[in-house]
Amino acid sequence: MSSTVAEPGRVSRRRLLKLASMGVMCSLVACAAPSVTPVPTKGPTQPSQAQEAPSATPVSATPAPKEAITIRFWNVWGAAREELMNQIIARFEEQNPGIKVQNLVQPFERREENLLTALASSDPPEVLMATRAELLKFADDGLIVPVTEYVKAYNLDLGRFYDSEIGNMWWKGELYSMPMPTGGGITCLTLINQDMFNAAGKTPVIPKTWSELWEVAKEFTELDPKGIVKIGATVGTGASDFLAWLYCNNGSVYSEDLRQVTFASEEGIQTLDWMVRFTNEINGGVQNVTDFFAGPGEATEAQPWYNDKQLINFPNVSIFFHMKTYKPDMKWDMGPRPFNGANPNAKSQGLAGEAFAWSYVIPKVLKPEVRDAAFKWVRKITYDEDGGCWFMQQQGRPSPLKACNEAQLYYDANVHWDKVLEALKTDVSVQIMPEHARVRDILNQGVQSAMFGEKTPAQALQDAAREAQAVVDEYWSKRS
Amino acid sequence: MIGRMPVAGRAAAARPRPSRGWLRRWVGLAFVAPWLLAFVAFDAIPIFSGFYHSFTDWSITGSPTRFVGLANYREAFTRDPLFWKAVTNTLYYIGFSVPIGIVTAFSVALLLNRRIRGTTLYRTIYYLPSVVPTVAATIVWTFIFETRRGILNWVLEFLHLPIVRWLSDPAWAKPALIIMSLWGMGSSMVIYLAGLQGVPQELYEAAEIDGASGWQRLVGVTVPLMTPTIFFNLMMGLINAFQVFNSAFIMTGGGPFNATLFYMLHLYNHAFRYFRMGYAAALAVVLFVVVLTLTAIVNRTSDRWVYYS
Repeated sequence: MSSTVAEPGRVSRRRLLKLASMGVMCSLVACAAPSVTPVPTKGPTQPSQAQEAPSATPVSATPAPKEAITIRFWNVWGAAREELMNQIIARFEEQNPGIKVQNLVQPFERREENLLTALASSDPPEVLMATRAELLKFADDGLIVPVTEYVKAYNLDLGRFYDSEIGNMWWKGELYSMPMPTGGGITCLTLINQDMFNAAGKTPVIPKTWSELWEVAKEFTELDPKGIVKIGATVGTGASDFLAWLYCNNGSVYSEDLRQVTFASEEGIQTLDWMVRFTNEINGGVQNVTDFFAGPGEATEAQPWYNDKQLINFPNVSIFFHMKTYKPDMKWDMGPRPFNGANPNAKSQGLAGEAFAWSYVIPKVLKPEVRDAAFKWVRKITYDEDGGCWFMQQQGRPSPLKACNEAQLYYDANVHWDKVLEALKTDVSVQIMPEHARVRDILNQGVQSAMFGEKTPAQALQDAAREAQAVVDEYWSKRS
Repeated sequence: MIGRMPVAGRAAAARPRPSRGWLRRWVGLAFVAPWLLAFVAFDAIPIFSGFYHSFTDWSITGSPTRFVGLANYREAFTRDPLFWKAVTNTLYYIGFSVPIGIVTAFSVALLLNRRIRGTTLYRTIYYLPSVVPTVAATIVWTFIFETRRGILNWVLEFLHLPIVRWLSDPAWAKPALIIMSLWGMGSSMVIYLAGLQGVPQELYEAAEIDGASGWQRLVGVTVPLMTPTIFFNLMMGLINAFQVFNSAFIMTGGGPFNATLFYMLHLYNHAFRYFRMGYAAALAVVLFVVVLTLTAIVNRTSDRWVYYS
């Protein structure tokens, strides 16, 4: 007998479908819930006395939320830095009982993909760590909010930052973040291994010009049929190395108005020609250099620098942290990056903001009160002494805040700290545009084609410049 | 029975009642609904959306999207200098990695199908690498390929052969990644193994009675009966090889000098590094058409060499 009436204790088909539909509806409602989940707090909802009260009215003029706001903080401060960041978070949460921060360290290899898709979604993290090139792109497309008004409202003194550092965070008259760590200090350093000089019975020399570098590197480089045994120095084989040397030869990547690519200038060709000759004549070719430094990256103790196999190094400022870890007893000295002594207009210069130059951006889709909370966190990790400044000091690497770098603990930890600060002064804020990643990759193709002997340096740069100019023109044509 | 029903009951009985077939269809649909919804949300809509966006200059980051017609396709075929490089690299990779992968996995499966001591252990050992995460495997292979201290070059030196610059020489970088791809043959090997165990023993006995040698039994019995499995692995191998990405992304970044810039890596760069989703969508559509065409061709030719009976 078939019946539409359910037997006692059994669920009818219709009822089952009804329950299933209700379940689906509930799931859909849950999915559509607000992006920031309020977390009930035990403490007071108003900022505590420990938090420096803003001297101006809050930007959003929204009432303080009754429940805690959660800031999902996407960043790449992994490994030992994660614990340091957690300590800042603990302090921040104590000072701001209404705000919780989740430290969400992202895998570096998929960082760009994750960042872009998260920011384009309707539920992005509240604060995201982004490079300067990404910041410009997001700002240009209106995905992130400027923080200019917040800076005014909280009376923050931007003069506390190095000009080249805070200069990297502006786009079209608006400030979009504050920096941490330095965007500079990436290319301005030259370190020498004194132990290797001493072992060879030579007086340590810090090369100041390209020709001095050539002489010292040639003297110390040892080759065998498998490649390089010991290296005097490498001038690099890609676009980032080329740009670093280009600026030490009075060259530039764009015109001041960012409408022309200028790397294929006479200085550019001279620079690439010197790099190619250096690599071929001293290091035996680009493949030797690639093989010699092959491995899982510079932050490992297997690298030649930590094993007395590399005499001269052009690292970024994170090297001090790694040297302390991998070879604390190493004797070393440093100076600024060598320049082209044959060019009377050339001088030592570092690049600030051409690559990396980390910033912390706030998505536009956030509610005003969440934006306010997000800015407080951005301020903590960039501007505050017990935040970004402390974080840099713990790692022994310079801060973009001038006063922060004067702390005695830097001098205690690094015998050459005064030279580090001198080198940082040579940094210039490089003007770049939102399409810089593409231009940079095109330039990289050009540099590689010269390094692998497919084209002459002049031909390689001119071809790359033509292609890059098309990208720049396309960008400006869309904006006109 | 109807005659004893009250009037109202009779009227109800006269109304057409939903047939059992109708109900069964709806219940069936309800059961497949989760999969169907997921398919629509995560496959069908993105496919159509990708197809649509391939005709736009969509950037995902919010800048205004314009309809650009076939401009993205024109750019790929005529103006993008790395497009053809990526296509050539990918075809080279497919041309070698798929057949070598099939032969190797099949050969290992044949060896492991024999009744020898410790077969289970050997099967586990050969299968294990395929469950190792790609990132971990890639780091291990970076050490294996090292020019000065790598195991491969150590073996070459031991055999008095010249050493190879596996990852720094543009001529050797692709072969290096092809060799590395064999690392994950465990999953297809297991499928071959299952296929081999389904070959009827009496056919081997009959062949043996007819005086067939081991090689003749392999060529005349095993291979023909394994063609459906080979066909399946060929299809999966082709589709996977077209989408090779992780090894190049992690190990070489597309270098040296674009030697390992595969199609998916090129697509990824445009999508996530240059924010050119419209162009990347066009590249994805081209890949989709090529894979579909090739799969159809292989499928079509399978009548001639795959034996199902």
